[in-house]
Amino acid sequence: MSKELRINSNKFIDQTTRLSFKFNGEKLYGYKGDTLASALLANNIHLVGRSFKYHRPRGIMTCGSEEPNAIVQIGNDPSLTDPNVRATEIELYEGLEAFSQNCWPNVKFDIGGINNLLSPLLPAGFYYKTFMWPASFWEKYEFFIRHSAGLGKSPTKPDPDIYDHKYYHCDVLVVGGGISGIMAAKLSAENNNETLLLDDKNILGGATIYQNNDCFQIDSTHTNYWLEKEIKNIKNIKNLTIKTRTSLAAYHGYNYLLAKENLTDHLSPDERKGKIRQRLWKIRAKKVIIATGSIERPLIFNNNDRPGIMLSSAIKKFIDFYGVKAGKEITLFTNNDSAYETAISLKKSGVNIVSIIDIRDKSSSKIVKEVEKHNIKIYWKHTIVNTEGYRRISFIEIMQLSDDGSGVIGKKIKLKTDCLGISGGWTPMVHLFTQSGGKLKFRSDDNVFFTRQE
Amino acid sequence: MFIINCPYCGERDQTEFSSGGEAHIVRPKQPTELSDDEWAKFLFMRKNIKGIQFERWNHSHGCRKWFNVVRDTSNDKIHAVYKMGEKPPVNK
Ligand SMILES: [Zn+2]
Repeated sequence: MSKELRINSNKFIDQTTRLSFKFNGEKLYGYKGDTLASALLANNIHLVGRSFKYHRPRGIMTCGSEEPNAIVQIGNDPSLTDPNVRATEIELYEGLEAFSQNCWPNVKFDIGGINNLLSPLLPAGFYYKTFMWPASFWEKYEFFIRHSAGLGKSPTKPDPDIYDHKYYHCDVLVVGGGISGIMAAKLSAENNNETLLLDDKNILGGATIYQNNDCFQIDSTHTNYWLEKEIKNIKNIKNLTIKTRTSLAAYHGYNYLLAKENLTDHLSPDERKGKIRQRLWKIRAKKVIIATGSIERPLIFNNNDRPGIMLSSAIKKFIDFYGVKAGKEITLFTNNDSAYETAISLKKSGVNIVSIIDIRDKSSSKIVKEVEKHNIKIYWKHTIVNTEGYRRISFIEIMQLSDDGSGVIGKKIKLKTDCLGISGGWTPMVHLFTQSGGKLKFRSDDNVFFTRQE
Repeated sequence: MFIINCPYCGERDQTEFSSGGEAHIVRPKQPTELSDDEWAKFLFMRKNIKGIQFERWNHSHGCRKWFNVVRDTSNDKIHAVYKMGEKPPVNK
């Protein structure tokens, strides 16, 4: 584990418990409290997979269930192996073994990567059209296609694990244990409603629990400390049941919902023996409160898919929650103020920020002023036109935007960076709401699809 | 998965019931006098409405009694439940 990528103190990570794990056969170390993703980043590993068609290198991009790239195979026991697990969701345990998917022979040298060079010659449907003939050749093609394409491997032997299911009836179900969910659950339970609060993470508090910034205060207290106290208090409210490591999977009619509770996936193989692995909750609630928050949007530019390019909010969580620096020279690219929160977090932890590229003319918000005090170079009204670096981003090229924003002007500026945080604003997680039959409408003041009240 | 208010037992989960299809289909008095087409129409042809539909349900894992349900098939909202032989509470 690279010491220089870890900051020392962090209350969410137990740095006294070192855990060993393997990624693609290489022995690495992390700490209790890490996810596989944070442990890999602490070991300076961004490259975790390959894209499906062109086999372009793929890196960790987010810090949660929205992760599109860091999808791995856990273990290689024929009955226990688990495909398509997000590295950002699986908690690290002693002896964890993970493998990259969708690459052959290995993630650093991938035969399918040649498709990337040939991409102008590979139109949609290329595989299906080209490898059809001559028919007698199919068996030869198949060997290579099956090895170089496809997602994870299914287990080949019966599953020895024990699973459970449970019916649950309540007055109010609150989905999401961030600040809104916590407050909703508190009010609901205090008003004599039998309440169930669910969160998919191992601790409550969402993004607020690590928001330690002067610009965000409640009752003159930093929001993280304020929320910590609230969480302590709600644990004593009768009527309130709290379930962590439990993700809601389905919202059916008449408020019938299904949730999956993870009971042993975060334990080492020895500690799992004889225990129930997962429990399916079949919940019937009189009222459902969806407090699932938002996910950050990426920005669009040439070669925006290189390893080392991540959501700005993910970089913030890796430093503030896991105590892991996603890079040594980080650049941020944004169209809104959120990236400046990341900048302050990084600065506090002593990470070098190359610069911030902002497509806006100016912002006079409190948090931007705070960043300007730190002497961080901000390129206002600039955009990224290209990036370099095959297995990891190494350079970005930026240019000034024209007055109407439709084109670029002036000279290209080349900046060296090993990690780029992008922030394109926020998208509310309305998935469960639409699954329940709810309709959306576009809200133009912040360009999001939001719930429409009938 | 919806909840049905059985007129004999009260509210129960849909999994306890089985659907008997469209309600109020009158069996012809003299089946032998019908043409094959007419008989097939009685046996098989159903309206399959999107919207308010009158249906028969059986509480098969409960009291095992049959009854009628007025359900909006587009959103599974149940507007009324009434016993066999009773008049539909809303205009059919
Ligand atoms: Zn009954």
